[in-house]
Amino acid sequence: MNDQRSRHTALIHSVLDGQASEAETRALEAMLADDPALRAEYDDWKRLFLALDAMPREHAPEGLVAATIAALPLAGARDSSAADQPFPRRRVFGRTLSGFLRPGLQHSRAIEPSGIASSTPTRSVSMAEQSHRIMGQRKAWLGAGIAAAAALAVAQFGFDFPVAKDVTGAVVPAERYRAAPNGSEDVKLVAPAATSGKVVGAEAAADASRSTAERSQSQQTADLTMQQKTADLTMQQKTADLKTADQ
Amino acid sequence: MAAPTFSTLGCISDEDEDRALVARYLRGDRDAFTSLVVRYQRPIYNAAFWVLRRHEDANDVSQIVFLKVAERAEDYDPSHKFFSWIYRIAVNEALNLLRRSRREDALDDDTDVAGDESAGPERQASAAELSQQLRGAMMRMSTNDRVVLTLRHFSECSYEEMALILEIDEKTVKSRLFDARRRLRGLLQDWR
Repeated sequence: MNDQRSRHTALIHSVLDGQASEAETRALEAMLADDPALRAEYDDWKRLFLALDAMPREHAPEGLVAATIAALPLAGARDSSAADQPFPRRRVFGRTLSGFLRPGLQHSRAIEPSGIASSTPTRSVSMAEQSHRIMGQRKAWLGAGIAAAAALAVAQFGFDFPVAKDVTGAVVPAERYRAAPNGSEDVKLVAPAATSGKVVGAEAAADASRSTAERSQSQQTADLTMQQKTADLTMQQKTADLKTADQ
Repeated sequence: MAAPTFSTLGCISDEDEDRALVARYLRGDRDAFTSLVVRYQRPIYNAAFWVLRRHEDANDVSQIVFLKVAERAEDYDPSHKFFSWIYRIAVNEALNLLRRSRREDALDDDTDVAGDESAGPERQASAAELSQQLRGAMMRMSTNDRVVLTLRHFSECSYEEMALILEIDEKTVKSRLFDARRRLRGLLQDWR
């Protein structure tokens, strides 16, 4: 019974797939007319088939065609100028780039359709160009990093910024030194001169200068006198010594 | 009984134009290859996505497939259909990536697998809800089931074409499709 039901179901599928012969289609029509349960099953499958056929398809990414075509010239498979090259160009599908790929994307030996060589394509075909761009970006970032490190080094050693732990106390405004103002006790009155105070001041300064010079001269005179006396005493002593020696 | 409205006449392709584009590309016409990419980008992307269930991986595989076609265009045998050739490459590349990455059960972050839970019993769902439920159910199916359902319903391949792409006989294709649909239907028990 189940086998018969399965055969009927398989026939329904073949008819709905459009793969059944005319004879099979007519046979199913006859069975459906006599068997309401089979008709219900047929309708149910038909609805599922229609729903599957109507399912929205996935949209390919917008950049798929552009990325594929952009990678195409690198393949160079159809480029007639390649024959004139002294050395063959590197194959896009070669294994030379395999080290740069995610492990999951590195092919071993694919199950190939007949007529297709087993050399294995990789994701690198679209990444060959990307790797150049990535390397350029890496260099830019590396340069920026070096510049930042140099700036930090200059800031650290070129300027003597106090370290936070060395700074204590409160910051107060600087105060300029001011001498105490002259009071009344600092003012000494002298006898009024015939002339102005300015002349009196000059004369006092001259007097003080003369006094100092005189003191210096008298000191020098005293020193010379003392030296003369010392020399005389020395001479007298030598004379006395000679006399004593003669005696 | 009315004839099925969704009978397949072959995968989405114009075989003669495909062959002509390949021939032009082999003569150095890169625009011809661009036309091939534009023509097949969506079917190839869908085939890859429904195997891998990750948009990023589907994008990568799609690029790999097209560039592989470009490099191996001379190996293409015009006596065969171009779409069968490129589909086979796409399915194999996607399966290879899936095997290598070993993340059969992982889903894309933006993949919505909810759907059938939201459907009540005997509920007549809208077309949009049905699509959402189907998508969620398919996301939970095995890779083999997803591949055959995708080729048949999204790429509209015939049994013969599927056999060519998957390198199995037509009888096996039919059996796999039958089983996949029954499992899919089982995931949609409340769906009416």
